[in-house]
Parts: sequence; structure tokens; C-alpha cells
Amino acid sequence: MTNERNTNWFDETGHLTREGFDALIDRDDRAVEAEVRAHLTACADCREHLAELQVTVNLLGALPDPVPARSFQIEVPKPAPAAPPPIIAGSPGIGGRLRSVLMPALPALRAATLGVFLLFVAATAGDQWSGRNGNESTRDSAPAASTTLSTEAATLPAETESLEADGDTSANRSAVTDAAASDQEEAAEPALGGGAESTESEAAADSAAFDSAPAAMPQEAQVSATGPAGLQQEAASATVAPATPLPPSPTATPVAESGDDGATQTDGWSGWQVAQAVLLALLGLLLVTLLWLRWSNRQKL
Amino acid sequence: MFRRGRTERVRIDASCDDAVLVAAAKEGDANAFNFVVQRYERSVYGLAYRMMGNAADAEDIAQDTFIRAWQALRSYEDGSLKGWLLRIATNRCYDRLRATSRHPVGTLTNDEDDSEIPVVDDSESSDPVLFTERLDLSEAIQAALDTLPPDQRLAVILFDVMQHTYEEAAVIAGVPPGTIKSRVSRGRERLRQQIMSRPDARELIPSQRRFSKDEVGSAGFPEQ
Repeated sequence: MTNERNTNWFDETGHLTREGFDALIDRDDRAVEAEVRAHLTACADCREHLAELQVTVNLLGALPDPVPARSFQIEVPKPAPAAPPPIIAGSPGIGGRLRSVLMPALPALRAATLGVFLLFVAATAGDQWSGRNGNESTRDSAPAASTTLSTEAATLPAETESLEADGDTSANRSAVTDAAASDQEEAAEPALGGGAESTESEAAADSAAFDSAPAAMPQEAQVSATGPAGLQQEAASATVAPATPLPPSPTATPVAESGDDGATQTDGWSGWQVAQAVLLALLGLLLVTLLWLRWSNRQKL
Repeated sequence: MFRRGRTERVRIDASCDDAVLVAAAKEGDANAFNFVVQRYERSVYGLAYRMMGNAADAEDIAQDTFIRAWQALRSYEDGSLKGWLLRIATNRCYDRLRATSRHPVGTLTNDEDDSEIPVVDDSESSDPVLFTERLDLSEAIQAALDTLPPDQRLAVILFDVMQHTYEEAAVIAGVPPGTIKSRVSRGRERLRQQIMSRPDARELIPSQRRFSKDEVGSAGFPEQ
């Protein structure tokens, strides 16, 4: 064992090999030291080589430790503080989804609100205009009826007076009674089944008959003037009856209900009013939506 | 800082051994890992400095070493923590040397300015003359080291400079111990030639003389 190592530590020239010098320096095999020491004592070259090598190794071992100019500690980023939960987090909810849908359309909503408001104003103006026209037409038709009736009423005294002045006879009484009865029947027919126009035309015919009556009255008055006073009242009541009770008058009632506007204004809403109601509801909805969006934006900020 | 284990509570500080610090660091305790850094940063930096020959590269390599160690801490299982860190630093040095050889920006010879001189942490530095001599000597030795092939340089640095055993150096270098021994032997011989061929290097060691017959024992060989 020792001989094998010695052969490794000495070369063929008899000097120490590199492994031999390393073994001496590292002192890894003291068993060969005596032989090596003997060689070093005799060989100046190996002695000088070993000295240089030992100095080199000593210098390497004596090198100062380089000191870093800074530390190399790592800096692990601290976890960021928990961010405040967003207003719309995870499932946004109905309000969040609605807001996300409506917010992009906010300018359109504002324009729509303005448009609906203008439409509402227009509908209101239209309602007012149509209402004024309706009142005017009602007022125009009602005085016409009353005028007709007053005309009838105005003619009756003259007729009554002529009757009173001329006296009463049975023939005249029956003729007047028949005429009054026929007038009453003719006036009642339109009220039962006739239209407003026929009623008006017949009323006008009656009025014309009454208007022309004074001219014919002298002849009739001469006959009827011989009649009794009771007959005068009977005849008067027979002729005045169609004109005295104005509201329930068979000739006045159809006139009052025959107006187009008058019938709808009292029983239901006009088209303008329906439009007003719809526009007002839509305007309120839009305003509430705009106010809610503004409030939610402030809450979000 | 306390860390609750299975049976006891362990306080993490600089006095804890490597296993405790590594266990805590594996759980994400950066402070525990920084205790490891404090413990071994001079060794890592020293290896990098001797391998690269300048402070700038040494700092980059040391920082990169600890960052990679932190990232790969879970892959460390057992063995010498210092050896594991020096192994990472060695690989970083090889990477940097390969990059430098492909894109040389300077030379590995000793042409550094004064800023590259490492701070000497030695009580003998209180003597200005000795301090200056040792600084000059250090420059000369570093210049000689820079001329070695990286494998030999690493072996010499690990074994002669950092005083690791062959086995430890083999683990760090990732080669068998015999390979380290061979590289150390060749490296020493080249260093001897480098240092002793320079007159200024020989002058830097006035107290060292060649061995004589009577000095063998005083040089460290035990007397029989």
C-alpha cells in the first residue's frame, strides 16, 4: 500500500509528483512523510517547489473574505390591503344590472324625457282647444232650441189672445183640438224614434207653421172666439204643452243630447285626455328613472 | 415571531438552525429566509466574487442566487443548506462566465480599478502597512485565479480559499470528489506558476520563504 503510493508520489525522475506535493500540503497520508522528508532533504528542487506551492496555498487560504456592500435579503411584497368591495361585485343584482343597462342610454333617456314633456304640453293644449270648441258648439245649439221654443211660447199668447178675443164654437174647438192633437202627435213621433235632424226639421216646420199662424189666425179666431173659456185653456194647454217643460221636452231633449262633443265630454275621456294621461305617466316614469340614476351615481362615487 | 408546530411553538430568529429556518421559509415566512440570507450571504458573495473577479458581477450573482433559492425552496429537501446555496451560486457564475465568453466586455485578468477591491474584514487590517500589503497580495492572487479555467478555479476556491473539504466541494461543484482533487492539484500548480512568475507577487510575500530542510516542520508538517 505504502509502496504503491510512493510510486504515485514520485515520478520516474525520482522527484515528487503533483499528487505527492498535494499529499504533503493536505497531510492526507502521514504514512509517507518519512520517505518524503528524506527526499526533500536531498532534493532542493522539490523542496523549492513544495515551498512555492505551500506559499501559494497559504496565500489562497489567507485571502480576506470579500464583504458585500449591501445585503441580499429578499423583499417579499406585502399583500395589498383588501380593496373595498366594489359596489357592483359578483352578482350585481337587479339594480346593478338595470343601472348597467341604463347608464349608456342616459343621454337618450334625457332626450326622451324632454320629448315626452313637449308631447304632454301639446296634448294639453290640444285638449284645451278642443274643449273650447266643444263648449262653443254646445252653446250654439242650445240657444237655437230655446229660441225656437221661445218663439213657440211667444206665439202662443197671441193665439190664446185671438182665441179669447174671437170666442169659442164647437166646430172651431174641435178643429183646434184636432190640429193641436195632430201637432202633438207629430212632435212626439221624432222623440220616440226619429233622429235629431228630423226633429229639428220638424221643429222648424212647426215653428214656420206657428210663424204663419198669425196670418191665418183671424179666420180661425173668428170661428173659435165663440167657444167657452174652458176650451180656451184646453186649447192653450194643448198647444203650449210641447213647449212649456223645456228639459223634458220631446223636442228639446234630443237637441241637448245630439251634440257630438257634449255627449263624450260628460260621459268619458276624450282622445286628448287619454293622450295626456299616457304621456303624464310616461313622463313620471322617465323622471323617476333619471333621478334614480343620478342618486345611484352619487352613491357609487 | 412565533410559529406553531405540531407540538411546540418555535420562535424564529437568527439563532435558529437551518432546518427550522427552511421549514418556516417553506411556509412563506420571508423573514425566516432572510435569516438564512444573513447567515450565508458572505459565503455566496465570496464565492461569486472569487469566481468573477469583480464586485458588480458578484452582487448580481449573489442577489440572483437568493432570489432563485427563495423561488425553489420547496425543491430543497435535506443536506447542507450552505452547499445548496453555493451550488446555485456556482451555476449562476457559470452562466455569467459563458455569457461573458460569448459577449466579452473585458478581460478576466486583473485590470480592475480600486473600486473592485473588496473590503477586508480582518483584525490585522488595523496595521496600515500590513493592510496595504495584504490588499496588494489579494489583487495578485485574484489575478492569478482569474487566469484559471473555471472548473479549476472553482475547485481551488472551494477547497483552498473557502476551506471546504473535497466532499463538500464535490457536492457544490456537482462532480465526484476525485475530480475535485484533481482540479485542485492542477489549479494549485498553475497558480504557483502564475504567482511565482511575477516578481511583484514574489515581493509581496517577504515573510514567506522557500522551504529549507529546517523549515519543513515549521511549515505545518508534524514532526515524527
